[in-house]
Amino acid sequence: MDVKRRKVFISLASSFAVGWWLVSQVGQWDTIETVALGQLLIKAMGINIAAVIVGTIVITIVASLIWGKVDKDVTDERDDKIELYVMRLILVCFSIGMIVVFAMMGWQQLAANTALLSIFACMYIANLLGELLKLFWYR
Amino acid sequence: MAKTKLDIDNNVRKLRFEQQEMTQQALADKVGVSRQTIVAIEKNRYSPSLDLAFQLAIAFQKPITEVFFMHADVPSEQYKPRIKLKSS
Repeated sequence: MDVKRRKVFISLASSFAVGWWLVSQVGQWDTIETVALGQLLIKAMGINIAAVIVGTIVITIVASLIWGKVDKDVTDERDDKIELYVMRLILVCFSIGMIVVFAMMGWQQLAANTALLSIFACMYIANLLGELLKLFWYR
Repeated sequence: MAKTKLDIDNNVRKLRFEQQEMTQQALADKVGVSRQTIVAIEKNRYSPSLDLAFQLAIAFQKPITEVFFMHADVPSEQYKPRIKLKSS
């Protein structure tokens, strides 16, 4: 498996792990204080970033021990283009989600906790979609 | 004016084999891209930039027209330049 696809798999795995951890933490999300929920979401983002970094280091070490060589990570014009398309998709998905959440806050009296979680969910889903699309385009 | 999709093809795979069966990785290293990009170019899934196209031509030591070509089944009047050049 090449370096780019490996990175995508690590990112997907850490996203699923953090998602699972978050679900276990926010059992009674409508009764927790909004500040506490916000802190939990920030923690989840931090853990995700840390998990990606640690995962990349560990997998690179393990791969080099198994195959005895470190793969070069060449980034070329095609990768830049793919990255750009993925960023655009993430932005569009997240923006649509944000607009829907704000509209629901205005007209449907959406609770602050639900709105926070919905915005986080939009970001999470947009990120997952982007990673899956990367996987499809890197093939 | 409607945009015409040009049918551009390439001889990268053929030229690789003509050059002592050069591997995709060797060609990728020569032009500074990933092997996946060479695969995508060969399968016509990706059109390289002019810069990369010239680098490939240099790697094969061939003129660019021998590496990349266009299937001539589109009427020639569709290739009129958008900018009119002043005739001297």
